[in-house]
Amino acid sequence: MFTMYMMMAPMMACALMMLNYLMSKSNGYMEKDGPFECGFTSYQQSRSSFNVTFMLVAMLFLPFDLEMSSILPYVMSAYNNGMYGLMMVVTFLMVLVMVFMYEMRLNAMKLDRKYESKSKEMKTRLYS
Amino acid sequence: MLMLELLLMVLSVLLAVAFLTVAERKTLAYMQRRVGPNAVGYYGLLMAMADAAKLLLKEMVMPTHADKLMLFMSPIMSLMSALLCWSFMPFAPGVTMSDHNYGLMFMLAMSSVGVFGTLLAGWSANSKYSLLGSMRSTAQLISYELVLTSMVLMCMLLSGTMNLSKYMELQSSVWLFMPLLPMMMMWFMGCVAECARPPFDNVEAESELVSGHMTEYSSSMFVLFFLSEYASMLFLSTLTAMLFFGGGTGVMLGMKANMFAYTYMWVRATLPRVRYDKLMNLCWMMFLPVMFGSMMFMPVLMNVMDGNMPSTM
Repeated sequence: MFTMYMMMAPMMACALMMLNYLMSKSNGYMEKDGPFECGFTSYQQSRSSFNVTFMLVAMLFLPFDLEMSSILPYVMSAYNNGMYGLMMVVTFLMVLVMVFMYEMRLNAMKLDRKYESKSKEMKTRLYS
Repeated sequence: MLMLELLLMVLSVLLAVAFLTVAERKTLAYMQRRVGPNAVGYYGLLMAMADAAKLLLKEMVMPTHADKLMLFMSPIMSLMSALLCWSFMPFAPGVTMSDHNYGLMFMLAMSSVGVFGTLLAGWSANSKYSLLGSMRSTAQLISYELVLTSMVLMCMLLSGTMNLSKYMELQSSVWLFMPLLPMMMMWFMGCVAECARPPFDNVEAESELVSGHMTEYSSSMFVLFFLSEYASMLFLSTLTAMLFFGGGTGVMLGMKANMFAYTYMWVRATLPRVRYDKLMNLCWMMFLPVMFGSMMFMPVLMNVMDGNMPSTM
């Protein structure tokens, strides 16, 4: 039943689009088919660069998502593996939390638009 | 017979999604002291059908410089991820499409695939509004996914199973929201952000980005995005009822899920939009540290509360 459902979901979507394609009429012209813009013709600058913090967020997501998947076996067998498993999971999370704290102090996740060097600030806080 | 069951389930999911849109419009209308849709059918009950019929008759506009294949694929991908989440949701103990022992894991996987739909949609449409919208939504979705995933892991930790049917039996003594109360609130906020619903709908803030990643979409492709958004909203509220509030069979589960689906609209009618960097900060600086703390605390608490702890050392 599940396999059938898995096939059915995209088929349904395709059928819906096909139905629409058959039923609707289309008379495209340049202004309609161009990229959306508010009141003037678009300059077509859409494949432009974006803020690097989005990339940073995506990269920071990776280790934490990995952490979730590597903690999954413990979570499933927490009732069976007693003190040893507990120690392991706490140690693992402790390392992760330390790294996370470092990231937070580094302001790595700040999305606001202050372009100033953040590494200096970090150094003074570490040693004082 | 199998086909009939399958059709019944798919139809019920789709109809629930359709009527949720009417319910949302009605609720928002009454919260703003107007009537809302009331012409089609009995008190506007058939408005969803009328909307769907109208959208299916509209022209499919293909943007000229768009990546056509991706433009087609991305709504299908997001609809698939939203619909496939439902395949392991038990409507009563065992009444599900596939009563699998790793169902919850599949759900997590499927809900993360949904990100690709919005990402590709924004990139392929060749419009700067959709590009910016998809950048924002991708960052927001993956950040809040961490919160949701770790919350689900916490539930697994307490119940020790990934089979959603078992959660009902396990919560007959105490609903899981009680031991997990502060995290449960975070889960709810994470759900609202994961669906990109109004207090956190920076991805399609009308005054900034016209309609986010859906700007260039029209007619049936827009319908697919719309369906997937509401399907995932309804799915997350059902999952909330399932994981934290004891689930239930049939009507009981429906009532609980409806209560949470209602809160999404309530929140939408009540709160103003938050700024985007505040939203991301909320996730990374508030939610995740609390999450890590409780991820360490809960197993330790479980071991301490365990009667035969010294013998396991």
